Amino acid sequence: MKIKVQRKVFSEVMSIVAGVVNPRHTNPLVQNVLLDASKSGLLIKATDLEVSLQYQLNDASVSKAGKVLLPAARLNGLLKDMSAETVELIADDESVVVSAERGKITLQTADVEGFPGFPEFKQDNALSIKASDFAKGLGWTGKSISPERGRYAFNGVLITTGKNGIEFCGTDGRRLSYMKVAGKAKTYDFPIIIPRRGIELFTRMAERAPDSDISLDIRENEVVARAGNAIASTALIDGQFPDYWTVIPRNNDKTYVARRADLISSLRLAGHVTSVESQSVAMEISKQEITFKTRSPGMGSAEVKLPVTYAGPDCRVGFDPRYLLDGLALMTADDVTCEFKDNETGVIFHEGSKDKAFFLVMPLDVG
Amino acid sequence: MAYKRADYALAPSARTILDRYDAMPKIQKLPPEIANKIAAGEVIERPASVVKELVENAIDAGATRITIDLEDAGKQLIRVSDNGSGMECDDLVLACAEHATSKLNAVDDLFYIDTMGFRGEALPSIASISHVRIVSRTTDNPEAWEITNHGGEQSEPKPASGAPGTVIEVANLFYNTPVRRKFLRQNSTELGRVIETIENIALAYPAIGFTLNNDHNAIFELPQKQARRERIVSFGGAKLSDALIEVNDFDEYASLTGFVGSPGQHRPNSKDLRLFVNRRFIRDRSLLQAVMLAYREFIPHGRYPVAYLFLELDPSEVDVNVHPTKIEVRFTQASRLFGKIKAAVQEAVLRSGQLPRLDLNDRRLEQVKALAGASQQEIHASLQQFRAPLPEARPGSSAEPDLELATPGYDRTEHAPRLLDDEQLASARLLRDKVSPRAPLPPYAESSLQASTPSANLFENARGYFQIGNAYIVVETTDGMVLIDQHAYHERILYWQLEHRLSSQPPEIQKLLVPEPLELTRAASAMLGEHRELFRQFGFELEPFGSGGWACYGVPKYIRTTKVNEFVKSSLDELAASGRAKNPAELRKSMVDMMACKAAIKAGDPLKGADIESLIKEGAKVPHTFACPHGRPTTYKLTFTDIEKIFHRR
Repeated sequence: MKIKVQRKVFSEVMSIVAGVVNPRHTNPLVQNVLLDASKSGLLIKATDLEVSLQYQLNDASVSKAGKVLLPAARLNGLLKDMSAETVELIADDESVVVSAERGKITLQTADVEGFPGFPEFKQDNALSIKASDFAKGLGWTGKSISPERGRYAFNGVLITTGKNGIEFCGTDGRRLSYMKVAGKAKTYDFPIIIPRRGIELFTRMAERAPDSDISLDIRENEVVARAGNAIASTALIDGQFPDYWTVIPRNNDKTYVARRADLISSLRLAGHVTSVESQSVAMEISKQEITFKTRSPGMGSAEVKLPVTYAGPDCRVGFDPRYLLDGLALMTADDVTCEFKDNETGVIFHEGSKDKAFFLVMPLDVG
Repeated sequence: MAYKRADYALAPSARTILDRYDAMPKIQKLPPEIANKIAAGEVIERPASVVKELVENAIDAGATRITIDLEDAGKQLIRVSDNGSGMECDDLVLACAEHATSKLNAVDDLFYIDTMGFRGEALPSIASISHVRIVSRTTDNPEAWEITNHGGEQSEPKPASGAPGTVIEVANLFYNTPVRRKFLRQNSTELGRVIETIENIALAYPAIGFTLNNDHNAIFELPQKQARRERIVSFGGAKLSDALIEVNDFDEYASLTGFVGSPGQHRPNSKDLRLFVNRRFIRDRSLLQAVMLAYREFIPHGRYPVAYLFLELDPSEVDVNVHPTKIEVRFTQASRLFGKIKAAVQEAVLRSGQLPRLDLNDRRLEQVKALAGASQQEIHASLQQFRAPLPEARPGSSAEPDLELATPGYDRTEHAPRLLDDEQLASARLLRDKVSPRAPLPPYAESSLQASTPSANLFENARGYFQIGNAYIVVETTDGMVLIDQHAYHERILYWQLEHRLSSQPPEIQKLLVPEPLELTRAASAMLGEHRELFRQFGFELEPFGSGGWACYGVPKYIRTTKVNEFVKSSLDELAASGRAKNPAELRKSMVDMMACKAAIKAGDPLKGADIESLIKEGAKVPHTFACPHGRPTTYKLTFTDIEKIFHRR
């Protein structure tokens, strides 16, 4: 193999690709990237066996085709520290010489045999979605998934497709976020639950080309996505995602509207007097006013008032302020609508249209 | 021997029953020789039983020095000599008569026993199955008297020479009961039993001097007027001396004194867990259990604490007349004693706040290593220097190697390297004890006598800390260093915090969006119905779900509980296991225990400086952190003195 590449572009791509590699993976082979030089340019491939990424670098001049495996982190670091415009990679049987201007670095290569295969992207049945929508949906719902390995399905975002659009839902069993974006797609008879690593990879890929479309080739155990020159894949979580529509409260009969910024600052203020023993913020709603109350034994208490538009009966609901702050931070509108019922029922927050997106927080009951 | 008042005190024995059936045909009254042999079967099982009876008699006679000589581990000869009050000639004649005792006069006395022996069974029983010779002299009598009794046939008393006191010789034990003789074990085992028997008496009477010889070899010699602590150390070993915690608990019902081992001391068996009631060694499962429970949090599961506890209570509160060997007793207020022992031991251990210390017995080990290729004689010679604890002199008890690498947490490891085989060790021990039975402690044992550091001071004393192996924390302190097992330590902290939290306010319950169905067996489901409120107290909202099933609708917020199913299941298992003792307090404890374990930092979790600092800080708030709730040690202390020893600077 003998190729010449623009260093800056190569470095940028490498930093994304190297992000897929798990440097502590038990299989040392997948700590490498595969460089595959051919007539069509340089194809860079990496995987951690859960997610994978293939990136086609077109503006590489290939004078001799070939495949090599190089340690991902090392190559990535190397390219970052070089300043030359172009770098040249020349491979023999055992090593690759990376040279640019003054520097000449020889890296040992690993045997290409045994490097795992990569899923193929098939356009035929692919689902097309705007990259910016895809990133938004994953970003909005990815926050609510559970970091802990409890119920497996809670570790990923569920994507549901249909005539009316594409829906995203993430929950850890204590809160839930939902978003629907426009688009037409066929329905699948299996749940599409994207794990955290996949969410991160797809989001990064979508954010790089926000104006283009992303094509998703969805199969029963994996999703292969293509955007521009990149093909990413992720394994799907095999689990039973709860039928969330049945648990989302339908008759939250009380509503108030508050300024989002005020809500955030009030919660933050009251949240200063929470502790491990007492994590809850009590939201006491009365005519035209909410009071956020916290109290921690041996520490103190807080009471923060916020004027709101509300005309219903007095009510009190407790919850974990962090869940609320996470959700409010993802919103963009000035005003937020809160729908609630009592201390047993989930509280819903949205930016005006509940159909498009909302998040739900389950109450925290004291004793 | 004290047989001054030789009355026949009638006890409800086989004899009266036999009398009642006298008139019935075919059933014949047993001749006294046979009745005595039967009684002997109950009391006298082996040489150790004889030694016990005779030594107890000597103590009752007010002896201050007792010498026990054995031949053939007691199978040939047992001679017990004392300097007690001795017997007049008239008493001597009755000594071997059945139910002749100097210790009971009336039936009422049977319920108020403050002497060691009383049943009047022992000597006649012994005499019926051996050749007994008694020489006794009272202090105010110029000459001694002697009688012999061969299988119940007694000689006339004749004058003899002898010092004040009594010498009893029991020869040819079981000569006329060949079956029993056949069942005697090999000499080392029988000798081991004798040593154990004398140990248990000697521990209760530290002021009395004891000497034990076998085949003219000295096994041990205990000086008179020892303090109790000294006596324990001379049996339990020098290692114990700085690890003994004094227990003192008095009330109108009973007084409890003695010593227990610090949490770092634990054993694979219950041999060093000894209870004495009114100076009598007893085995009582319930009271032993009280000690075990007191240590439950301090020592690892499956190990036994070290405890030498002495209960003194009104003799009328305890019935020692349950079994001829008097090893089993009954208490009028057993549960009260249980609570008393548990509380007193627990309090003593907590108060001492002793951090387990690294056991630096490497010197011993080194010497043993050096001996690896040495001859038997060299080994013997060298072993004499070790002056190891005396109980290890039991040649019969070879279950534990006594030369081993001291490892943190387990001062006696089962897997310790063994450089000598059992036989070598046994003979080496005997020889060692023969040559220097009362050698002074080696200097390194004394230097480790230091004040313990309560965990609360750890943070204040800390100068610096870092993590090693993503599992342990090393803390530099003003007097050395402390090694912390991060998981066990955090577990202890959480355990305390949970206990504290749950008692101060009801837990916050995070409602679940989707109820989590519990996968339970029918039995578990039924049990859950009973204990639902208990789970609620911990913050689990469990409701019936489907047909006969349950689901979780809310989980406690204060602790990470992703594995609700696992938690509920193991709690219910625990409940089922403790089925007979459904004590809510215990149950609560084990649930808190489980939650703390599941939520604690794991070994392998990397910690940053701030994490370590807060961990140590949190630890300082907890009353004690030296063992996790399962009893594994959490911290180990290595003082500069210890370090100096490692590098041979001391």
